[in-house]
Amino acid sequence: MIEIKNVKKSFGKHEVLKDVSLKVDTGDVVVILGPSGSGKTTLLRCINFLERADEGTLTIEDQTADLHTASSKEKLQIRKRTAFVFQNYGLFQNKTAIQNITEGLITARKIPKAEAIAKAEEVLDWVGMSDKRDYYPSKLSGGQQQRIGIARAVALDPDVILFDEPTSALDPELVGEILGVIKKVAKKGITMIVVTHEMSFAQEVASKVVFMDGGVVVESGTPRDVFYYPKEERTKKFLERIIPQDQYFI
Amino acid sequence: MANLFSWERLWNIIPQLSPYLLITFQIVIIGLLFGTLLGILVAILLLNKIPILHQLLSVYISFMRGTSMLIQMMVIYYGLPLLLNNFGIDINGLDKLVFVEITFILNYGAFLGEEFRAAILAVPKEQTEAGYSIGLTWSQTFFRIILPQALLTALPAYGAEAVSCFHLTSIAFTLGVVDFLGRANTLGSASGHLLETYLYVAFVYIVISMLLRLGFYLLEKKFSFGREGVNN
Repeated sequence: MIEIKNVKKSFGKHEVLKDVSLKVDTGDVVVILGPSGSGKTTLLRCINFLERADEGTLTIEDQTADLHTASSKEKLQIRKRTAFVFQNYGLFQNKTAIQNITEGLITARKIPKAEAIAKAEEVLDWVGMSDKRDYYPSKLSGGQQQRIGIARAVALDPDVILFDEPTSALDPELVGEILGVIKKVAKKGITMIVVTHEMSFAQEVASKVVFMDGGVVVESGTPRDVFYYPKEERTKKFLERIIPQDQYFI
Repeated sequence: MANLFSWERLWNIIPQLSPYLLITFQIVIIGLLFGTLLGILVAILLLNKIPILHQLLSVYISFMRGTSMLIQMMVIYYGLPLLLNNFGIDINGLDKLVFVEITFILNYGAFLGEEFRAAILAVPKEQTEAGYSIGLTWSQTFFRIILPQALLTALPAYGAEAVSCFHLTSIAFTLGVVDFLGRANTLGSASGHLLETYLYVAFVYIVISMLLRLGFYLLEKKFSFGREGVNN
């Protein structure tokens, strides 16, 4: 279980997150939707301490940390329980595909090298990238890089994987392919928080949809509730604009 | 005309002069090796902007970049013993070569520090975040992910610095350290035949510079991480 409570974050005078709370049960796939600048990405980054929140607490299973005052040690512990998939893949440019995956296993988690390599090979195969094992990221396409990005996160066996717009930087024809891989991750029963603009993905995979705007959670619920029976005016307006009318009330 | 240049004299000079290349190499290798380590340290300290230390570093870098190496060497040679004397340390008996090496280390530490700083900043921020996201500490991320990429970026400029370092070693003779060029001066003056000596010195400098450039070219190629066009 992951619980985020009362997260606040400002950049200068701009208040990006105004008291956001979110609870995610183990095995849940939570999709966060919302217009640009609504604080979705910032919320995700605060969970992984890539951004330091001004206020708020985070609970992952039995561990609770203050998002503002957490010590380096606490930060490291939380990071080892989470994994992050970046919009621009974030693969280590000086490491090959397999090294990108083993790095976190060997260096951060102190898993023996042979075991880490075996694990990485298994995950590479799982995302269909075995033949690119020894390629540097610069030799791979965006879709291939993101597969490895996902493989890297899955290999770490985290309590939660955070996806930050994982398909936004991809060619339209590759989006479906990567969404397919993410669905496979979801089927494994891994807890996930996904920030995305892919509505059909959200409808199909999410166990919970959270709609954010202006730094607050406007509405949350099952995909069915949020997409077909939105309560808030703001949610309705957002959905009207991105889902074609004829599909809306089917 | 016949007296101006003779192959025989050139052949005679080679065995007398060549051993002094070792002194030159010693200055280059120690200067660059420790200069590089100091440079990395300087870059890290500059990027972390530690109060007071940051200002001190700025003064150090300004001095190293704003004065010629000859002046720096004189300041170190005459100043350092006085400075250390205040703390009760006597280094008057120290080999002059040590002062030359200290000069090279401090000078290259400053220049390379600035170069490394720029190269580190050129590595996308996301690389650091990716390192943190998989549970690496700051130092693991820096030394395993960021620095290797930064050093690759800095490599062409570093190669140029290495070649110039090799040429700069000649200033050691000002302190009376007899390196390759220093020995050439004394040999040439003693025999009155400078041309052969300097031709040989020039030849050796060119060959070594070319070897250095080749070496750095191969290094860039080997550590390109699959990126193309780095070497062009």
